[in-house]
Amino acid sequence: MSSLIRIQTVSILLILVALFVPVWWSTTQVHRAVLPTDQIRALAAAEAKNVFHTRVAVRFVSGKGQPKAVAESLQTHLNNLFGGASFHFAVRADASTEETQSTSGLYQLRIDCGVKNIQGEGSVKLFEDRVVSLQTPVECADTESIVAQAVAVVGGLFLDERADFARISGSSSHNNDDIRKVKFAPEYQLIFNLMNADPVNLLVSWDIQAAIKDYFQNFVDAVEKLYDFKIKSQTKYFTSLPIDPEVINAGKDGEMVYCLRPHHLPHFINSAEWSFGGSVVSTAPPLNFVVYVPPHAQSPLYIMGHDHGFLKTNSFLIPQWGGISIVNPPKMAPAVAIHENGTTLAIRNVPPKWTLSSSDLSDPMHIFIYQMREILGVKTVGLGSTEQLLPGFQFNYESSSVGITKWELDRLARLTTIQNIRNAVNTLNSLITLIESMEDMILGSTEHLLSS
Amino acid sequence: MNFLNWLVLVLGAASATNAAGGAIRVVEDMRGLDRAALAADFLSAGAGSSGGGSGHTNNWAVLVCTSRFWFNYRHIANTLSMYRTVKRLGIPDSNIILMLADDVACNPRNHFPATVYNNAGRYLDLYGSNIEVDYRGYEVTVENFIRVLTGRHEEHVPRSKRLLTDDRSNILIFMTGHGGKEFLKFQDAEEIGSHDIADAIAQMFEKKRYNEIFFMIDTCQAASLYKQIYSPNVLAAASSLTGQSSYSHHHDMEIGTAVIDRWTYSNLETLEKLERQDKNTLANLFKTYDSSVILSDPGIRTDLFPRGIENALVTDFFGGVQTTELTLEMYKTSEKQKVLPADVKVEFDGRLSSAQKDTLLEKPRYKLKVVLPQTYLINVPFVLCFGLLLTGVVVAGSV
Repeated sequence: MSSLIRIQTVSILLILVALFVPVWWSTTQVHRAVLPTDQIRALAAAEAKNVFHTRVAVRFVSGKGQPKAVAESLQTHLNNLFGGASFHFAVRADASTEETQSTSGLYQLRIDCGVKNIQGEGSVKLFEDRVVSLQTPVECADTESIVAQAVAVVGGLFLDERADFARISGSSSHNNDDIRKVKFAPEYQLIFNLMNADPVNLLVSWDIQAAIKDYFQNFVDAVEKLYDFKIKSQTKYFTSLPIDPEVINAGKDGEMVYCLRPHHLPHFINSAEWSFGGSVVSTAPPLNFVVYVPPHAQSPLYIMGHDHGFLKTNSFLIPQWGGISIVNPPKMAPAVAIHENGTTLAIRNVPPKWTLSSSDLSDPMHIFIYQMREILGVKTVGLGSTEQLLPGFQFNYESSSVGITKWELDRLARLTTIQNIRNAVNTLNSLITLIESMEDMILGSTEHLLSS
Repeated sequence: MNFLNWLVLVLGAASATNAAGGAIRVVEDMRGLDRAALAADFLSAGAGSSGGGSGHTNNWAVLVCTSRFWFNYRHIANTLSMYRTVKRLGIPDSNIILMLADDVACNPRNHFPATVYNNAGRYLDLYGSNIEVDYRGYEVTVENFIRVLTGRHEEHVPRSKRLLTDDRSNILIFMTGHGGKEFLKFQDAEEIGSHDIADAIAQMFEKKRYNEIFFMIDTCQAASLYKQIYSPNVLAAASSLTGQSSYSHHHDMEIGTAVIDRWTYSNLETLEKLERQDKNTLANLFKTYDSSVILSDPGIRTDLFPRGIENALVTDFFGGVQTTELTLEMYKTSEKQKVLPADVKVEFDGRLSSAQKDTLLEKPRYKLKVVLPQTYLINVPFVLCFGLLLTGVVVAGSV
């Protein structure tokens, strides 16, 4: 009897063990969802093949010449020159003489053949609105030479960009442009600060709304496809510098002039006391532009350049942060306020008021636009390479009335795109590396992520 | 005559290219005016600030006090002393994340309300009127600390509570509180382990959230907390080694508690003498440690810091670097004028670290150490043997 019971007991135990060990094993596993690792790893290789499809429309101003032949030959030569890296050109002939709407990615080349300037050579002018015009003394029938010069012009416009892209996709070498440029964000807080160091002796106020409308609003509108700006302004008082400027006995009457040398400037901002606000809630990065009015005891205050001369602009830029412009106050006598105090007349000195109108602010605003372009990473589109290929030609550039030409805007958009692609690919790859290195980390279901 | 011949040759070549006129030379990597190259030339000539520049462009500080309750006044004072130091040396509030687990300034037991002092003479009020505490009271948790370090916040978290560093940021992380072997106690309720800190820093490295980290820790057995870090460019300093306790410095009789810890006090004695442009190195700072005064042996970990502590300035971590650039022109938008893209000489000032020295940029990438999952105590072989044991017992028992 006991041996039968023994066999039964042992077999039941063994069956239980055999049944429940797999249950225990499966319930204590670390659940990791499946991630598209291979696809993400392949993204990095695919990145190198990003190409911008650029369209060029060729038009002969005088109506003579063969636009179609020129366009075909130009397209072949341009694509040979760039070798399919970064840019692919589609050139067409534009027969109509009416102005077409300027759109991003479509550039117009106007050729004026058989025209000489004073020196007997041609000229190239870069217009603001995505148009480049080439005036060449070569005859209109000479298609080959015209194409050669056109390749130099159009190719030269985009060669700088290709070098930029190669630099970004390559090793992460940091040059000064990268240090200066703020990281891309779709929204920025733009804060204009007026710093009054000595309100006891001078009350400063500014008509900043009008100044922004007059000078800055056009720039903000021009780049609205790329960035969204929230513009604010504030005035701060009693903002004394943490450094002492040097006193120099310059000036015609031997008057005392205060100056800041370049090595003082890194300590200009009193980070312990001056709080540059911006919203602490919003995650948009802030860009600050400061108009600093020095106190009476330290005015006029100038910034000295490296060549020991005073800067005309009296401003400097802090990379990734913003810009500062020093505006010297005029010497004003204190006003006198008389008021009744019971039965006696009380006379006291009141600090004079100085209001900066919109036209007074035109210089600082122009400086801020220049600094804003630097911080956003707007690069001038120039014809440096072309100048070497077409010696003797005259080169003119039209500057923009809003602060950024359409050429520069397009270049900025392309650069931003390439950088963002690179960042996204890097982030994804680094996440995968991280996840693969931590094997006992639970990865929840990714369905809600993959579907979005 | 030789020079004349050479000149004739050069001019002849120049005119020959002029005459070549329309021939296309396909020049592959022609660049336009390279302002960066101009600036680089300028800087490498003049920038010799310190041998082995750190390559950082901004500074951040994460200052954490993990202890709650009135008798841990000294931990709050430690943290606030560091806060004051980094602010004085130039890091703005927007770049400081200050986490205080308790509010001792407004504690009803505080004899001097709204003040925090770090010495019995009460010379300096650390609390002041210009203080920004980002995480206070019960918000100081292990989860929030790790979220701050790794940057993985929920959407609603405001900007002031985020560590918005990039790969050129130097970060100072200072932690103080009660700790033990490989753990640090948060709020008397939970602990952070040394592996958690090491993994968080590894995540920061993968996401390129720091250039260099200086990890300071003032607790008992503090050196055990930085033992597990395995990411590069991390320098760590601790108040005591494993197995040793850290001690407080002195009491204030009217406040009724200790007001500062010994190791932090020793650091502050040196740091208070520094100004913003100071050139003292971290090696100098470490040399000032005196074990007989601190009553414990400070630990320093330099194996993950290839630059070397003799090259690292104190202000690389405690001060706020700010490069500036003179603006030489303005952009007139009102008139359309002929503007040639002038070759503006870009001039940087301040201590711009040697970003141009390409040799230093190729920092060796360390392979991430793969952490093997801990083998469970109870696993298949164990269970089978246990089952066999049970059956054996049953068999033997029923005999």
